Amino acid sequence: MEGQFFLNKTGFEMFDALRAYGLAYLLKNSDDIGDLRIQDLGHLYLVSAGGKLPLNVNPQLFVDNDGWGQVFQTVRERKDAKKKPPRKDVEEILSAEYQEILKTHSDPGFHPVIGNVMKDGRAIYQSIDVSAAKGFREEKKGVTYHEGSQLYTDKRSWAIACIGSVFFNYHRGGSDFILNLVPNPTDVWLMQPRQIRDDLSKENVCNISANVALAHYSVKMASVIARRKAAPMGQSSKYDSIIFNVMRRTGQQPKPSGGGKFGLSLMGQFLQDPAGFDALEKIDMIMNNGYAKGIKQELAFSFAEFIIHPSLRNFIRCEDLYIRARISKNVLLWNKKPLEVLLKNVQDA
Amino acid sequence: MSKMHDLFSNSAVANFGAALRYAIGKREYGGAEDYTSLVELEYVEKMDQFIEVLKKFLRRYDSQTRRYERERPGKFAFKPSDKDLKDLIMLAESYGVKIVSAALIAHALVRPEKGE
Repeated sequence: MEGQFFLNKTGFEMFDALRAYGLAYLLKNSDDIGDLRIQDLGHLYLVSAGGKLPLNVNPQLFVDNDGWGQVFQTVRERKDAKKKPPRKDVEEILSAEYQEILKTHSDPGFHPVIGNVMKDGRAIYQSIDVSAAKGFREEKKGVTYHEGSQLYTDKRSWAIACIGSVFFNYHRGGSDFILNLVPNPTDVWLMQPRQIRDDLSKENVCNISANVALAHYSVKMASVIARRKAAPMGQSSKYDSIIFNVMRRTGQQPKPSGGGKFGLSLMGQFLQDPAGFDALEKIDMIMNNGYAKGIKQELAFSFAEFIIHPSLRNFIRCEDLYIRARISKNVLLWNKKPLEVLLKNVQDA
Repeated sequence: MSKMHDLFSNSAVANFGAALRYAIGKREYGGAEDYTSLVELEYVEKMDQFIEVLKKFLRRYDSQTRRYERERPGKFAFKPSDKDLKDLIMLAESYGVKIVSAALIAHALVRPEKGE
Protein backbone atom coordinates (compact mmCIF):
# COMPACT_ATOMS: atom_id res chain seq x y z
CA MET A 1 0.00 0.00 0.00
CA GLU A 2 1.41 3.36 -0.98
CA GLY A 3 0.52 6.44 0.95
CA GLN A 4 0.32 10.18 0.72
CA PHE A 5 0.16 12.25 3.88
CA PHE A 6 -0.74 15.92 4.11
CA LEU A 7 0.72 18.21 6.73
CA ASN A 8 -1.06 21.52 6.46
CA LYS A 9 1.04 24.45 7.59
CA THR A 10 0.08 26.35 10.70
CA GLY A 11 2.42 29.34 10.32
CA PHE A 12 4.83 28.01 12.95
CA GLU A 13 7.54 27.25 10.43
CA MET A 14 9.79 24.99 12.43
CA PHE A 15 6.86 23.11 13.98
CA ASP A 16 5.46 22.49 10.46
CA ALA A 17 8.75 21.26 9.00
CA LEU A 18 9.43 19.03 12.01
CA ARG A 19 5.99 17.45 11.71
CA ALA A 20 6.76 16.59 8.08
CA TYR A 21 10.14 15.11 8.96
CA GLY A 22 8.69 13.35 12.01
CA LEU A 23 5.82 11.69 10.16
CA ALA A 24 8.10 10.55 7.34
CA TYR A 25 10.58 9.15 9.87
CA LEU A 26 7.81 7.24 11.66
CA LEU A 27 7.13 5.41 8.40
CA LYS A 28 10.77 4.44 8.06
CA ASN A 29 10.22 1.39 10.16
CA SER A 30 10.38 -1.60 7.89
CA ASP A 31 12.44 -2.78 4.96
CA ASP A 32 9.25 -3.02 2.91
CA ILE A 33 8.84 0.71 2.84
CA GLY A 34 10.06 2.26 -0.39
CA ASP A 35 11.32 5.77 -0.97
CA LEU A 36 10.01 8.44 1.36
CA ARG A 37 9.73 11.87 -0.14
CA ILE A 38 8.83 15.20 1.45
CA GLN A 39 7.72 18.12 -0.73
CA ASP A 40 6.90 21.67 0.25
CA LEU A 41 3.80 22.58 -1.73
CA GLY A 42 3.43 26.04 -0.24
CA HIS A 43 0.42 25.60 1.99
CA LEU A 44 1.34 22.06 3.09
CA TYR A 45 4.09 19.49 3.18
CA LEU A 46 3.34 16.33 1.25
CA VAL A 47 4.90 13.08 2.46
CA SER A 48 4.83 10.33 -0.16
CA ALA A 49 5.68 6.77 0.78
CA GLY A 50 6.27 3.97 -1.68
CA GLY A 51 5.99 0.28 -0.79
CA LYS A 52 4.25 -1.24 2.19
CA LEU A 53 3.55 0.98 5.16
CA PRO A 54 4.65 -0.38 8.56
CA LEU A 55 1.86 -1.49 10.87
CA ASN A 56 3.32 -0.12 14.06
CA VAL A 57 5.95 2.20 15.49
CA ASN A 58 9.59 1.20 15.65
CA PRO A 59 10.54 0.97 19.37
CA GLN A 60 14.11 1.91 18.40
CA LEU A 61 12.87 5.48 17.93
CA PHE A 62 12.64 5.89 21.67
CA VAL A 63 16.11 4.64 22.52
CA ASP A 64 18.15 7.22 24.39
CA ASN A 65 20.09 9.67 22.21
CA ASP A 66 21.24 13.29 22.42
CA GLY A 67 18.28 14.51 20.41
CA TRP A 68 15.76 13.68 23.15
CA GLY A 69 17.64 15.76 25.67
CA GLN A 70 17.72 18.70 23.26
CA VAL A 71 13.98 18.63 22.57
CA PHE A 72 13.04 18.65 26.22
CA GLN A 73 15.80 20.93 27.46
CA THR A 74 13.29 23.57 28.58
CA VAL A 75 11.26 21.06 30.58
CA ARG A 76 12.05 20.86 34.25
CA GLU A 77 11.29 17.44 35.59
CA ARG A 78 9.93 17.46 39.10
CA LYS A 79 9.83 14.44 41.34
CA ASP A 80 6.30 15.24 42.49
CA ALA A 81 5.02 15.95 38.97
CA LYS A 82 1.66 14.43 38.15
CA LYS A 83 2.33 14.46 34.45
CA LYS A 84 4.45 11.72 32.92
CA PRO A 85 7.84 12.64 31.48
CA PRO A 86 7.43 14.03 27.95
CA ARG A 87 9.57 11.39 26.31
CA LYS A 88 7.41 8.63 27.80
CA ASP A 89 4.39 10.62 26.70
CA VAL A 90 5.60 10.72 23.07
CA GLU A 91 6.22 6.99 23.13
CA GLU A 92 2.76 6.22 24.52
CA ILE A 93 0.97 8.55 22.08
CA LEU A 94 2.77 7.17 19.05
CA SER A 95 2.42 3.55 20.12
CA ALA A 96 -1.29 3.83 20.92
CA GLU A 97 -2.36 6.14 18.13
CA TYR A 98 -0.05 5.30 15.24
CA GLN A 99 -2.81 4.15 12.88
CA GLU A 100 -4.98 7.08 13.86
CA ILE A 101 -2.09 9.48 13.11
CA LEU A 102 -1.68 8.01 9.63
CA LYS A 103 -5.41 8.16 9.06
CA THR A 104 -5.80 11.80 10.10
CA HIS A 105 -2.82 12.87 7.99
CA SER A 106 -4.21 11.04 4.95
CA ASP A 107 -6.99 13.61 4.98
CA PRO A 108 -5.91 16.81 3.15
CA GLY A 109 -8.33 18.77 5.31
CA PHE A 110 -6.65 17.97 8.63
CA HIS A 111 -5.18 20.99 10.41
CA PRO A 112 -3.42 20.74 13.77
CA VAL A 113 -5.37 22.39 16.54
CA ILE A 114 -3.42 25.18 18.26
CA GLY A 115 -4.58 27.31 21.15
CA ASN A 116 -3.88 28.79 24.58
CA VAL A 117 -6.15 26.38 26.38
CA MET A 118 -6.67 22.87 25.13
CA LYS A 119 -8.03 19.71 26.64
CA ASP A 120 -5.45 16.94 26.36
CA GLY A 121 -3.14 19.24 24.38
CA ARG A 122 0.64 19.43 24.70
CA ALA A 123 2.88 22.48 24.96
CA ILE A 124 4.87 23.42 21.85
CA TYR A 125 8.33 23.69 23.37
CA GLN A 126 10.85 26.32 22.32
CA SER A 127 12.95 23.58 20.77
CA ILE A 128 10.03 22.75 18.48
CA ASP A 129 9.10 26.33 17.66
CA VAL A 130 10.35 29.31 19.56
CA SER A 131 7.47 31.55 18.44
CA ALA A 132 4.99 29.37 20.31
CA ALA A 133 6.82 29.88 23.60
CA LYS A 134 5.71 31.95 26.55
CA GLY A 135 6.41 35.66 26.41
CA PHE A 136 7.25 35.73 22.73
CA ARG A 137 4.10 36.95 21.05
CA GLU A 138 2.50 39.20 23.62
CA GLU A 139 3.44 42.75 24.41
CA LYS A 140 4.32 43.29 28.05
CA LYS A 141 2.71 46.45 29.36
CA GLY A 142 3.23 48.20 32.68
CA VAL A 143 5.12 46.90 35.66
CA THR A 144 2.94 43.90 36.46
CA TYR A 145 4.78 40.65 35.89
CA HIS A 146 3.17 38.49 33.27
CA GLU A 147 4.89 35.51 31.76
CA GLY A 148 2.77 35.42 28.62
CA SER A 149 0.79 32.43 27.52
CA GLN A 150 2.07 29.15 26.19
CA LEU A 151 0.60 27.64 23.05
CA TYR A 152 -0.62 24.07 22.96
CA THR A 153 -1.35 21.71 20.12
CA ASP A 154 -3.12 18.38 19.72
CA LYS A 155 -1.08 15.52 21.07
CA ARG A 156 -0.66 13.67 17.76
CA SER A 157 0.84 16.66 15.95
CA TRP A 158 3.01 17.32 19.00
CA ALA A 159 4.33 13.76 19.11
CA ILE A 160 5.38 13.67 15.47
CA ALA A 161 6.97 17.12 15.78
CA CYS A 162 9.00 15.76 18.72
CA ILE A 163 10.22 12.87 16.55
CA GLY A 164 11.14 15.35 13.81
CA SER A 165 13.05 17.46 16.30
CA VAL A 166 14.94 14.51 17.81
CA PHE A 167 16.10 13.12 14.48
CA PHE A 168 16.35 16.14 12.18
CA ASN A 169 16.98 19.25 14.25
CA TYR A 170 20.57 20.44 14.47
CA HIS A 171 21.40 22.11 17.77
CA ARG A 172 24.35 24.38 18.37
CA GLY A 173 24.91 26.12 21.65
CA GLY A 174 27.12 29.13 22.32
CA SER A 175 28.05 30.92 25.51
CA ASP A 176 24.76 32.82 25.59
CA PHE A 177 22.53 31.24 22.95
CA ILE A 178 21.16 27.96 21.67
CA LEU A 179 20.46 27.70 17.97
CA ASN A 180 18.09 25.13 16.47
CA LEU A 181 18.29 24.59 12.73
CA VAL A 182 16.44 22.46 10.26
CA PRO A 183 16.64 22.68 6.45
CA ASN A 184 13.27 23.37 4.85
CA PRO A 185 12.43 20.26 2.80
CA THR A 186 11.56 21.79 -0.58
CA ASP A 187 11.79 18.40 -2.26
CA VAL A 188 13.79 15.81 -0.36
CA TRP A 189 14.23 12.08 -0.04
CA LEU A 190 14.01 11.31 3.62
CA MET A 191 17.38 9.80 4.41
CA GLN A 192 19.36 12.57 2.73
CA PRO A 193 18.62 15.25 5.35
CA ARG A 194 19.53 12.67 8.01
CA GLN A 195 22.83 11.96 6.26
CA ILE A 196 23.48 15.69 5.97
CA ARG A 197 22.78 16.12 9.68
CA ASP A 198 25.10 13.22 10.49
CA ASP A 199 27.82 14.72 8.28
CA LEU A 200 27.38 18.11 9.90
CA SER A 201 27.45 16.69 13.41
CA LYS A 202 31.07 15.64 12.73
CA GLU A 203 31.94 19.17 11.66
CA ASN A 204 32.56 22.09 13.96
CA VAL A 205 30.18 24.99 13.44
CA CYS A 206 31.70 28.17 14.85
CA ASN A 207 29.56 29.30 17.78
CA ILE A 208 30.95 32.72 18.67
CA SER A 209 27.52 34.20 17.92
CA ALA A 210 24.16 32.99 16.66
CA ASN A 211 24.67 34.85 13.33
CA VAL A 212 28.06 33.29 12.76
CA ALA A 213 26.71 29.83 13.66
CA LEU A 214 23.81 30.25 11.22
CA ALA A 215 26.03 31.49 8.39
CA HIS A 216 28.67 28.83 9.06
CA TYR A 217 26.02 26.11 9.16
CA SER A 218 24.70 27.23 5.75
CA VAL A 219 28.23 27.19 4.31
CA LYS A 220 28.92 23.73 5.75
CA MET A 221 25.56 22.44 4.55
CA ALA A 222 26.22 23.70 1.01
CA SER A 223 29.68 22.08 1.08
CA VAL A 224 28.24 18.77 2.31
CA ILE A 225 25.55 18.82 -0.38
CA ALA A 226 28.15 19.65 -3.05
CA ARG A 227 30.35 16.79 -1.87
CA ARG A 228 27.41 14.40 -1.85
CA LYS A 229 26.36 15.49 -5.33
CA ALA A 230 29.87 14.73 -6.53
CA ALA A 231 29.43 11.20 -5.20
CA PRO A 232 27.07 8.99 -7.18
CA MET A 233 23.61 9.23 -5.66
CA GLY A 234 20.37 8.28 -7.37
CA GLN A 235 18.21 11.14 -6.26
CA SER A 236 19.17 14.59 -5.13
CA SER A 237 17.29 16.71 -2.65
CA LYS A 238 16.42 20.39 -2.80
CA TYR A 239 16.35 22.85 0.07
CA ASP A 240 15.42 26.49 -0.31
CA SER A 241 16.09 27.74 3.19
CA ILE A 242 17.13 26.90 6.72
CA ILE A 243 14.54 27.37 9.43
CA PHE A 244 16.24 28.65 12.56
CA ASN A 245 15.21 29.36 16.12
CA VAL A 246 17.37 31.12 18.68
CA MET A 247 17.03 30.78 22.44
CA ARG A 248 18.97 32.83 24.97
CA ARG A 249 20.64 31.19 27.90
CA THR A 250 19.69 32.65 31.25
CA GLY A 251 20.35 31.64 34.83
CA GLN A 252 17.23 29.49 34.60
CA GLN A 253 15.55 27.96 31.58
CA PRO A 254 16.48 29.25 28.10
CA LYS A 255 14.27 32.09 26.92
CA PRO A 256 12.96 32.67 23.37
CA SER A 257 15.03 35.09 21.34
CA GLY A 258 14.03 34.95 17.67
CA GLY A 259 13.79 32.89 14.57
CA GLY A 260 12.97 32.82 10.89
CA LYS A 261 13.95 31.40 7.55
CA PHE A 262 17.41 31.93 6.14
CA GLY A 263 17.38 31.65 2.34
CA LEU A 264 19.95 29.42 0.64
CA SER A 265 19.88 31.19 -2.72
CA LEU A 266 23.38 32.64 -2.19
CA MET A 267 24.75 29.18 -1.47
CA GLY A 268 22.94 27.90 -4.58
CA GLN A 269 24.60 30.64 -6.65
CA PHE A 270 27.99 29.65 -5.27
CA LEU A 271 27.50 26.02 -6.19
CA GLN A 272 26.47 26.82 -9.75
CA ASP A 273 30.02 27.94 -10.41
CA PRO A 274 32.84 25.38 -10.68
CA ALA A 275 35.00 27.52 -8.35
CA GLY A 276 32.14 28.07 -5.90
CA PHE A 277 33.06 25.06 -3.81
CA ASP A 278 36.56 26.49 -3.29
CA ALA A 279 35.02 29.81 -2.27
CA LEU A 280 32.88 27.99 0.30
CA GLU A 281 35.92 26.12 1.59
CA LYS A 282 37.75 29.41 2.02
CA ILE A 283 34.85 31.00 3.93
CA ASP A 284 34.57 27.81 6.00
CA MET A 285 38.24 28.15 6.93
CA ILE A 286 37.76 31.81 7.90
CA MET A 287 34.88 30.85 10.19
CA ASN A 288 36.74 27.89 11.65
CA ASN A 289 39.41 30.38 12.71
CA GLY A 290 36.80 32.61 14.36
CA TYR A 291 37.59 31.32 17.84
CA ALA A 292 40.93 33.15 17.89
CA LYS A 293 40.29 36.60 19.31
CA GLY A 294 41.44 39.58 17.29
CA ILE A 295 41.40 40.05 13.55
CA LYS A 296 40.48 36.42 12.81
CA GLN A 297 37.37 36.68 14.95
CA GLU A 298 36.44 39.98 13.34
CA LEU A 299 36.84 38.32 9.95
CA ALA A 300 34.46 35.52 10.97
CA PHE A 301 31.89 38.11 12.10
CA SER A 302 32.22 40.15 8.92
CA PHE A 303 31.97 37.14 6.60
CA ALA A 304 28.90 35.93 8.51
CA GLU A 305 27.32 39.34 7.93
CA PHE A 306 28.20 39.07 4.26
CA ILE A 307 26.66 35.58 3.95
CA ILE A 308 23.48 36.81 5.61
CA HIS A 309 23.33 40.00 3.57
CA PRO A 310 25.77 40.08 0.63
CA SER A 311 25.77 43.85 0.16
CA LEU A 312 28.62 45.97 -1.19
CA ARG A 313 29.00 47.57 2.23
CA ASN A 314 29.45 44.17 3.91
CA PHE A 315 31.88 43.07 1.21
CA ILE A 316 33.99 46.20 1.68
CA ARG A 317 34.15 45.48 5.41
CA CYS A 318 35.28 41.90 4.70
CA GLU A 319 37.96 43.00 2.27
CA ASP A 320 39.26 45.77 4.55
CA LEU A 321 39.64 43.32 7.42
CA TYR A 322 41.08 40.61 5.21
CA ILE A 323 43.78 42.85 3.82
CA ARG A 324 44.77 43.88 7.34
CA ALA A 325 44.90 40.23 8.37
CA ARG A 326 47.01 39.56 5.30
CA ILE A 327 49.43 42.37 6.15
CA SER A 328 49.88 40.93 9.64
CA LYS A 329 50.38 37.53 7.94
CA ASN A 330 47.40 35.93 9.63
CA VAL A 331 45.69 34.72 6.47
CA LEU A 332 46.55 33.48 3.00
CA LEU A 333 45.68 35.33 -0.20
CA TRP A 334 42.65 34.26 -2.23
CA ASN A 335 42.89 32.39 -5.49
CA LYS A 336 41.38 34.47 -8.27
CA LYS A 337 38.53 32.16 -9.31
CA PRO A 338 36.93 31.68 -5.86
CA LEU A 339 37.16 35.43 -5.20
CA GLU A 340 35.42 36.04 -8.52
CA VAL A 341 32.54 33.82 -7.41
CA LEU A 342 32.23 35.90 -4.26
CA LEU A 343 32.28 39.13 -6.26
CA LYS A 344 29.65 37.88 -8.69
CA ASN A 345 27.27 37.66 -5.76
CA VAL A 346 27.88 41.07 -4.23
CA GLN A 347 24.59 42.91 -4.47
CA ASP A 348 24.77 46.26 -6.22
CA ALA A 349 24.14 49.16 -3.90
CA MET B 1 26.52 39.56 -12.84
CA SER B 2 27.25 42.24 -10.26
CA LYS B 3 28.89 45.60 -10.91
CA MET B 4 31.66 44.53 -8.57
CA HIS B 5 32.48 41.56 -10.77
CA ASP B 6 32.34 43.67 -13.95
CA LEU B 7 34.87 46.06 -12.45
CA PHE B 8 37.05 43.25 -11.12
CA SER B 9 37.27 41.78 -14.63
CA ASN B 10 38.25 45.11 -16.20
CA SER B 11 41.89 45.19 -17.32
CA ALA B 12 42.56 48.72 -16.02
CA VAL B 13 41.29 47.74 -12.56
CA ALA B 14 43.26 44.49 -12.73
CA ASN B 15 46.49 46.33 -13.61
CA PHE B 16 46.11 48.99 -10.94
CA GLY B 17 45.02 46.31 -8.45
CA ALA B 18 48.16 44.32 -9.20
CA ALA B 19 50.25 47.46 -8.67
CA LEU B 20 48.52 48.00 -5.33
CA ARG B 21 49.23 44.40 -4.34
CA TYR B 22 52.96 44.87 -5.03
CA ALA B 23 52.92 48.23 -3.26
CA ILE B 24 51.57 46.80 -0.02
CA GLY B 25 53.79 43.71 -0.19
CA LYS B 26 56.56 43.10 2.33
CA ARG B 27 59.92 44.72 1.66
CA GLU B 28 61.76 41.39 1.73
CA TYR B 29 59.64 40.27 -1.24
CA GLY B 30 60.20 43.43 -3.25
CA GLY B 31 57.15 45.29 -1.91
CA ALA B 32 57.08 48.76 -0.39
CA GLU B 33 54.72 48.25 2.57
CA ASP B 34 52.78 51.25 1.27
CA TYR B 35 49.84 50.97 3.66
CA THR B 36 49.15 54.70 3.40
CA SER B 37 47.85 54.31 -0.14
CA LEU B 38 45.69 51.41 0.98
CA VAL B 39 44.10 53.36 3.82
CA GLU B 40 43.62 56.44 1.64
CA LEU B 41 41.93 54.32 -1.01
CA GLU B 42 39.62 52.73 1.57
CA TYR B 43 38.38 56.07 2.81
CA VAL B 44 37.95 57.83 -0.52
CA GLU B 45 34.43 59.22 -1.03
CA LYS B 46 34.52 61.75 -3.88
CA MET B 47 36.01 61.95 -7.36
CA ASP B 48 38.52 64.71 -6.56
CA GLN B 49 39.73 62.71 -3.53
CA PHE B 50 40.06 59.63 -5.72
CA ILE B 51 42.21 61.48 -8.26
CA GLU B 52 44.37 62.90 -5.47
CA VAL B 53 44.81 59.44 -3.90
CA LEU B 54 45.75 57.93 -7.28
CA LYS B 55 48.25 60.71 -7.87
CA LYS B 56 49.93 60.10 -4.52
CA PHE B 57 49.85 56.35 -5.03
CA LEU B 58 51.49 56.59 -8.45
CA ARG B 59 54.20 58.85 -7.08
CA ARG B 60 55.00 56.38 -4.31
CA TYR B 61 54.72 53.43 -6.67
CA ASP B 62 57.08 55.07 -9.12
CA SER B 63 59.78 55.46 -6.50
CA GLN B 64 59.19 51.86 -5.43
CA THR B 65 59.60 50.50 -8.96
CA ARG B 66 62.76 52.54 -9.47
CA ARG B 67 64.23 51.11 -6.30
CA TYR B 68 63.18 47.59 -7.32
CA GLU B 69 64.85 47.90 -10.71
CA ARG B 70 67.99 49.46 -9.18
CA GLU B 71 68.33 46.66 -6.62
CA ARG B 72 67.59 43.91 -9.16
CA PRO B 73 69.47 44.80 -12.34
CA GLY B 74 67.93 43.30 -15.44
CA LYS B 75 64.46 42.98 -13.89
CA PHE B 76 61.58 45.27 -14.75
CA ALA B 77 58.83 46.21 -12.32
CA PHE B 78 55.21 46.08 -13.40
CA LYS B 79 53.63 49.47 -14.15
CA PRO B 80 50.08 50.30 -15.20
CA SER B 81 49.87 52.21 -18.47
CA ASP B 82 48.50 55.69 -19.18
CA LYS B 83 45.53 54.04 -20.88
CA ASP B 84 44.82 52.10 -17.67
CA LEU B 85 44.82 55.36 -15.76
CA LYS B 86 42.39 57.01 -18.19
CA ASP B 87 40.11 53.95 -18.16
CA LEU B 88 40.18 53.83 -14.37
CA ILE B 89 39.10 57.46 -14.10
CA MET B 90 36.30 56.83 -16.60
CA LEU B 91 35.14 53.81 -14.61
CA ALA B 92 35.15 55.83 -11.39
CA GLU B 93 33.03 58.49 -13.11
CA SER B 94 30.47 55.99 -14.34
CA TYR B 95 30.36 53.46 -11.45
CA GLY B 96 31.35 55.65 -8.51
CA VAL B 97 34.63 55.88 -6.62
CA LYS B 98 33.63 53.66 -3.69
CA ILE B 99 32.99 50.54 -5.75
CA VAL B 100 36.04 51.12 -7.99
CA SER B 101 38.24 51.45 -4.89
CA ALA B 102 36.72 48.23 -3.51
CA ALA B 103 37.48 46.41 -6.79
CA LEU B 104 41.08 47.68 -6.72
CA ILE B 105 41.56 46.45 -3.16
CA ALA B 106 39.97 43.11 -4.10
CA HIS B 107 42.79 42.60 -6.60
CA ALA B 108 45.26 43.17 -3.83
CA LEU B 109 43.76 40.12 -2.07
CA VAL B 110 44.49 37.82 -4.98
CA ARG B 111 47.46 35.47 -5.06
CA PRO B 112 49.67 36.42 -8.06
CA GLU B 113 49.39 33.94 -10.87
CA LYS B 114 52.46 32.21 -12.28
CA GLY B 115 54.54 34.54 -14.41
CA GLU B 116 53.10 37.70 -12.85
